[in-house]
Amino acid sequence: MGLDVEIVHPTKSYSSLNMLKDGTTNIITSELIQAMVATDKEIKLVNLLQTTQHSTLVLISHSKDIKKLSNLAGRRVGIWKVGFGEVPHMIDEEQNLGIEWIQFINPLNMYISGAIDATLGKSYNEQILFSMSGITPGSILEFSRLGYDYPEDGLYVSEEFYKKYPELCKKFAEASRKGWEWVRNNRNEALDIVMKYVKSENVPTNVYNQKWMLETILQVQEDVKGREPSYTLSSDALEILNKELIEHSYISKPIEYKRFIGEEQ
Amino acid sequence: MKRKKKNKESISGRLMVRVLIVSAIIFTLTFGFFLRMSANKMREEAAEHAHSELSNTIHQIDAILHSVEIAVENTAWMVPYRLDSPDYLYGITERLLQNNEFIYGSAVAFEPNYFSSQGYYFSPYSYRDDNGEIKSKQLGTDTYDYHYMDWYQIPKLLNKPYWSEPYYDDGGGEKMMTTYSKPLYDSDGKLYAIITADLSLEWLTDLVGQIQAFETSYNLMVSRNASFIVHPDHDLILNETIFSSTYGDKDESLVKLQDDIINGRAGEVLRTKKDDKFFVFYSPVETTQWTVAIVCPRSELYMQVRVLRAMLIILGVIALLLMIVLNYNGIRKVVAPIEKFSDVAKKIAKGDFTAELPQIRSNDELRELHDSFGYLQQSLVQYMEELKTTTANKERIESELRIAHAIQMGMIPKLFPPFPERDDLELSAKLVPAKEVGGDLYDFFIENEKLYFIIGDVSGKGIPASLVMAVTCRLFRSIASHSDNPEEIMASLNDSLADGNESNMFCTAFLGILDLKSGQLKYCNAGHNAPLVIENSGKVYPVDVVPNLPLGLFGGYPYQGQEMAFCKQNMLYMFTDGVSEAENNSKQLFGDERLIALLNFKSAMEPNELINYTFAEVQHHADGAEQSDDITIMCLKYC
Repeated sequence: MGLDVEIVHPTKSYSSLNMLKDGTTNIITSELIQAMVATDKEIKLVNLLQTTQHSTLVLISHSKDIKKLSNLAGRRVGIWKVGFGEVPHMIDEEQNLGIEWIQFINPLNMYISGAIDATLGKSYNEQILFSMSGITPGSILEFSRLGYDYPEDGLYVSEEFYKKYPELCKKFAEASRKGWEWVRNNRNEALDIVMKYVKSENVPTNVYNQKWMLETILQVQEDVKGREPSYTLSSDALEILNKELIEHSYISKPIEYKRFIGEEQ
Repeated sequence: MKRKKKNKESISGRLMVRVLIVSAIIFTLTFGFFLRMSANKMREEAAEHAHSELSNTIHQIDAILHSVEIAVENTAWMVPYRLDSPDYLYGITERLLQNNEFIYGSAVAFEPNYFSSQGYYFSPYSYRDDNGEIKSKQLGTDTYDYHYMDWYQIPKLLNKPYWSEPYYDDGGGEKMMTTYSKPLYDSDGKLYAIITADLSLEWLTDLVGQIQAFETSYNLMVSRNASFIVHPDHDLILNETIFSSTYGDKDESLVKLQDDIINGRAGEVLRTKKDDKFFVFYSPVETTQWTVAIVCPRSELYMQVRVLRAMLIILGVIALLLMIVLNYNGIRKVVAPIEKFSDVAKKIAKGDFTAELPQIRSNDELRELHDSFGYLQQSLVQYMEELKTTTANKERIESELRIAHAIQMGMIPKLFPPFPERDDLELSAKLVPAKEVGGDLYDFFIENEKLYFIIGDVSGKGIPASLVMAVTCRLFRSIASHSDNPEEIMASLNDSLADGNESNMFCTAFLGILDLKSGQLKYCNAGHNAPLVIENSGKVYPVDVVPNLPLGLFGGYPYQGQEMAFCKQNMLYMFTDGVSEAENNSKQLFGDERLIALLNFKSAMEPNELINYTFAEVQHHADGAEQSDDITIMCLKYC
């Protein structure tokens, strides 16, 4: 594609969106809801690629009796310091549950120590980490099964950057899509590459964790019927989220679909 | 195909095999139990040894961790006195490092915006640099928000001191460390800061690595989240957990290990990795509940058991071989008399009932066998004597019966044709008794151009019936010669037989007198089967008879006679119930209807041919079934 790319990682407490806003990066990965909120309130974003089509949000609890979020009313529940928590927050507000949200960077040790009653997590990350740490949770709630199966990760640029470098953005999106397709067909090689980088960067992880993480991510890239990933954001999904986010005052007006995916630029 | 000759089997051989099998099973079970007990004992001793080593190491770890806790306690009290001058707080963290050589760094991390002059983050932090000199800096930044680090957040939430799980601190020390954190509260009980002490865990690696519980064992240490803190493969440290490679497995030992590590319990499990089995002995550090473990290949632990097992197998084989050698002669001696008894049995079978029995001196089953053989011999001798007597008696009775048969047959006419000089009469008869002698009878004679004839059947069979038959025959001859009236003759016969008939025997009979000149037939029936008339036309029908009572039952009974005109060329066919009631193997009777059907259109046959034909058909019907009753047929043809 002829692009000169430098990959920069956010820190545990400084999000990729912050890095886009402060000019550290031009293109970021972000969750759809965060990107919509940012577009409404802070900086207009364009969705270049929608990588995952389903919610990977889970609620991991000590208690066996947690069948819905309202079972944890008034209890301490872990939530990411940065991002991912909008849907649980909306449910909490809507049902007036009074959950004491405890922000975390990594919930594992808080959960083991008993400092929190439950924690949010991702099925491709925290859920696997917990299991590999020998934890057998009392219950695991999957938000996708509770009626909140919203698309998550996508590739974003600022609208300003997109207008300035539309071809570059499209090339980058195409390169990312091809990259994911190559990963889907070359999983072991992809794992080898990941492990090479995590070792050089001293990231505490292991090949088993990465393998399960990759398998889960590839699964949620597919649509409901298990078809090949489209890598595009559906207008229906955006419409549903527009309603939800306006209703809970996360955004003031609907995000326009065509503008959001860069078709009206 | 030739069948291979079966080898002769011996009791002694079988006994030896059985003894060997039973002994081998007992040896195996005993040795197996012994080996299992030994293995358990060795495992228990190994576990004791391992836990003793673990206990020593854990005690040292706890001592170091405890010294840090005391150092923090002894320092924390100073913090409230320096809150009016935040910069002086660096002195407190530096002093903590000076007081305890194990402490790598220390911070007093404040709640957000605690000091308006210091901003959102304020956390004086002192640490040792690469040269060992103590340096200080402010820890919190936008990219390192300490408020969300485990060492800060967990003690804050738990409201008690907390040892963090080991971590690579990329915000501060940049080494694998653990942090002891103590929450600090103001006079209102509100948390305002966390004072910490960081420990580099290099000393922990050395301490755990020093344990040498077994020759080939290695040691490891995991945090409460099961991450390796100490492991011979350094790549695994803080990268993998003890359960990473077994993710998805749910075997019993794994579940126990998970449960024990999470809950900080000591124990031991047997794990399998790539077909090798390992014992994992583990015990928690009291202060942090991290788990120190010794991993020992089972092969090393059970080396002595394997040596012991090899020795026991060799000893067992030697013992079994000795058992064969020592016991074979003994068993042969015990079973030798059985062979002698076998020889005696063969001699007895050949008729030598007095063959000498082997001497048995023991008082056991062989003695009982000896006595039984003696009794058998005596019984056989006695039985043979009785058999001789019985056989002689039987032969005598059979001889007498043969004579009786001849006498009985001599009493009835058996020369046919009986009247060869006459051309107006053809007559034939046949009597076949079921036993040597029977109760059927027939007789005839001509007097004054009249044919007197009788056919009868005495109740019962054998000698009693034959005697009544003889009497009836004689009475018929003597009475009939004085009367030509069948009623009178039958009545006289009845009276004579009924007189003194204690045994209530009776005789059915059909008696007739045929006037050979006129063809007039007078007859009287005494309970006998009605004879059949076979007309010249071939038509067959029974003679119309008044049944009357059989002879010999009631004296003075008024017999009623009948008469009919007997046409020339007609035949009178008389028979006893031995014909109509002849049975086959399925107990089916020959039957009157079948007899009539048989005789239909047989008028062309001569009487003797008709009789032989009937006998052949009856035999064919019987199909080999034993004859149960005497069979008699008499047939006359008036020409």
